[in-house]
Amino acid sequence: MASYSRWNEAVHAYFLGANARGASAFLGVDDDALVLMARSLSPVPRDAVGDFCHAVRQQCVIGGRVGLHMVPWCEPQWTAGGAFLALLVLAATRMTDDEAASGSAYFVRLRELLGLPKSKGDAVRPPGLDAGDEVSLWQEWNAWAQKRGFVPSARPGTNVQDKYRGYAIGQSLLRDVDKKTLERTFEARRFGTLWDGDEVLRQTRRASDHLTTHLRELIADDRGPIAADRIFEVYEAWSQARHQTQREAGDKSNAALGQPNRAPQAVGKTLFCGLLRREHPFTGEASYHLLPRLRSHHGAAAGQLLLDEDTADWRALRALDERWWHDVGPLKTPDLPTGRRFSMRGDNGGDHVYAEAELPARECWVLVPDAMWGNPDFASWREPRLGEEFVLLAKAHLLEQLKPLRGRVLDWSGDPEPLEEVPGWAELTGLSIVATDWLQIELKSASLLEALRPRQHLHLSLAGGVRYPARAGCWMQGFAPSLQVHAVPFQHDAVTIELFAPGQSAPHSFEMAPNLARLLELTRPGVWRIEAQWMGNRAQTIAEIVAWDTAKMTPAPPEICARWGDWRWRGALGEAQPQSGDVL
Amino acid sequence: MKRVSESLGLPGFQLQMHELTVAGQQLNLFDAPPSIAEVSDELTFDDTADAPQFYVPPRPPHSVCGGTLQSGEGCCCALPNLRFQSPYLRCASCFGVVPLRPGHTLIDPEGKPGGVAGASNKNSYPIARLPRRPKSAPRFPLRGAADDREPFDVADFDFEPPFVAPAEAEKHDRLLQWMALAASGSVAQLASVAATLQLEEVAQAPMQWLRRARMLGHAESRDGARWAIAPPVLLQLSAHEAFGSENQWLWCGGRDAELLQLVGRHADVRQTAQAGAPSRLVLHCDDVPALLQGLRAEVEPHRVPVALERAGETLAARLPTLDAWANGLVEQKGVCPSNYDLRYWQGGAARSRVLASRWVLRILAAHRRWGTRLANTRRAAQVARVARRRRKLALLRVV
Repeated sequence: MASYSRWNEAVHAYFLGANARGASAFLGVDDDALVLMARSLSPVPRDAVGDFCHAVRQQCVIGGRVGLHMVPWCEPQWTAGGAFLALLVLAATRMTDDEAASGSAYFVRLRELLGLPKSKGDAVRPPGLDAGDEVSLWQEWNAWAQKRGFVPSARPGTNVQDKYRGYAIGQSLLRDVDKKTLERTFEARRFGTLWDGDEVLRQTRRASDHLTTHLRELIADDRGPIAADRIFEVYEAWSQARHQTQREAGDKSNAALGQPNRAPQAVGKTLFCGLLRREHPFTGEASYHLLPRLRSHHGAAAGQLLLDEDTADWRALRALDERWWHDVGPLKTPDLPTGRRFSMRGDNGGDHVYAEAELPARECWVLVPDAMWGNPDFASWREPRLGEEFVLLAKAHLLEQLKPLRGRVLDWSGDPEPLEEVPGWAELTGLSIVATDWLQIELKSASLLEALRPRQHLHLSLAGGVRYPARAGCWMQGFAPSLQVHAVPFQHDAVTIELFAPGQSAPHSFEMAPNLARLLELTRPGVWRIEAQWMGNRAQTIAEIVAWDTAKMTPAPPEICARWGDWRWRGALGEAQPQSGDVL
Repeated sequence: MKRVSESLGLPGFQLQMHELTVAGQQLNLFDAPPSIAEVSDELTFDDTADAPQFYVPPRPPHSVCGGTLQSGEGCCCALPNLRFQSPYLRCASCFGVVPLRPGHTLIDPEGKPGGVAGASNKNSYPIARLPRRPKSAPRFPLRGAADDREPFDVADFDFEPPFVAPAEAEKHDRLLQWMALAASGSVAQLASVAATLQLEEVAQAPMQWLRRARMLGHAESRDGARWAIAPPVLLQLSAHEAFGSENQWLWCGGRDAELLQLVGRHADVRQTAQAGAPSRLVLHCDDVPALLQGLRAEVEPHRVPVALERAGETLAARLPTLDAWANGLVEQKGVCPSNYDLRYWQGGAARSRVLASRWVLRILAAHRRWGTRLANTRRAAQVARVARRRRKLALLRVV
């Protein structure tokens, strides 16, 4: 049986693997997550959930009372209360949809997990855990997350009765009831069995009438991107089960729906890829590259992808960050309309070995700029945000549908340029979303509408400065970025900005006009948090400042070198070239 | 009295002019500088005197601040056996650097203003220090068989490093350090960072800086689009280069501040600012293996430099022939030779001359190999004429 400290470390490691730097990060503990965490323990417990709850009970409950003072000392890189907070979030995932409105239901679930008897009378909270006792742990957790480069997300509930339990409920992602609701929705809305994560999210959003209140909130707020991964995991399991059922029943419904009647890969075995657009620096010609997307917790071991079967062109994969591999390509553009599958080999996914990679077939691709690394390329990193320029690659007839929206909610600079190699497809550059009132907007293509609809009314972007190239969302000391607040200027109200210096809870506040850039004075090394509030909307981002004296150089890729005969040179260092198997 | 350009035809001198500093910019053969030939045409020198006497017409005070213009000094190339110095003017008040232009005064090898008989002392400004030589000896003597190992040895020059404003040098060092942190990236990223570091020249011509970094052994590039930092290497300077000492090592490749700090604990690191390039780092260390052993215990393997002795000989032994090099040129997509005026560089100057047919044929053959057919030569020539009017003159490096 693992101790509280071991589970505490596992919770932190899980959090780091599940979230992307620079984005809002959530604890998101549920039964499946605990099973994943348990893999890092030795010996691996048979009943991960039971073992976890027992470890927390052993440490934090004494004499039938919760004693937060019993939380043990831990290594400086972790927070002491991580495992206890994970239990609070686990209690939130046990609630049903009807219980969400009830003030006491959450604490009933919490008592169950802590092994405490049901409450008698009005005292709903577990004994020893008075109102607000856990706030200091959440604050410590937020500070730790910010220090590690994540946007802290634990915050109190909006209502008075939700104030403290709101921390845990806000950190929960998919509850048991939500997973069941999703499976019913997939079935009812006849989801295809071979969709990728983005398509599943879009279709789920379209079917929001079927969803629980918690799910609707989840995919609408800043938990959307991370919740999408969980929703896709549920979809994959459902898809596999459905295909099995269909095969047994001899059902040809896939063929009837016009979808290829082939088996979906086993859960977690397909590496879905996005698209990256790169311009040649000399000719300006655009080329499209495959952008493999990592799954959370799958790791990124070195593997190879077969880009071209004719020439047996195997490409090595290199991790860019926790969510993406470096791009591979260029791609044959005729693959765009139909999508394509690529063979993979090698140990390419850490614990999970991918069997194949897939570029999904889509009607349109929305390619946005890279906010985290500052690369000049456009790619399908995420959904477009208000005010930022992006590229739309779509079937030409879809672009025609956008014309009535020009000046209303969208704007663009040039004309659609047809792709020479892909008949019927065109590219529209310099596109930007200029308004957020999309409720009345209708397009024939629902997928195009979902792809373009902005989710946030307020958005912060950081640009310029000198980035610390080894880590996303970091800048070098003395060369901080400029801040721009993207918002629709209904009125000429200034936006209130709060700047939190590293390790400080008291912000420096100032006001700035929306849609204008302002250079930030981020002088001290560390993680700075920037929060904006405007007309009831709230947005936050972080910027880490790295000192020149502490930044370390990273190993260079060996493929960029000078080749003279049998030798290749990297600077003054020459070495004999490998004669064969030189995979670039 | 002879024009300097007449005396620059000596092969030894020409070969040294791989890079020179004019107007504070470090330039190489492939860039588009005021060439050494142009500069030298503005100078005259008297080889009848004991020391070479250089004459240039008088120059007015610095146009920016009105300060006195003084001599600029030579610039050091970090590659072993490649050293040079070249003239420019520097303002004593604001330290601004001024390109050499007609209308200036004389110099002498000691840097004394007006040190030559017959020259006006009042309006004289020293502009360069050049080596003193015996009157009878050739200025750049051709070397005999005994000196074949060091054909470009100019260590007996009265060499002094150039003046570079510390803030300027720090920017170039920062840019190299940023490259080391990034490990690799695109040319556009490099230009963007250079602009933020207020290195406008690099921001406008990042490839030029990148070529310089390649020549100094700091970086490599591919396809003109992406670059990568080179692994850190310590090159042992020969006893002759290091003024008799064999314990001097030149640092090439990536470096970061923390690594240099660690190295500085065990070795004497001397940093010399260079115009338009990262600082030159020379380690004075008696026991480099022990230094590297200590580093291996403290830092990641990729940050530990590789020590190379007699690197020049290894490099020379592996150099390809000219034909092998030309055949290995990488395709530059989108370049149709008939659309451009081809230039080549000779002695630092761009010559707008039709290239030798051998080169044209080679380029066209390569072009055909790349997949584009020049089906009709006459039509291609017509297209070239039209394109030449429309397109910006581009430079195709051939040499």
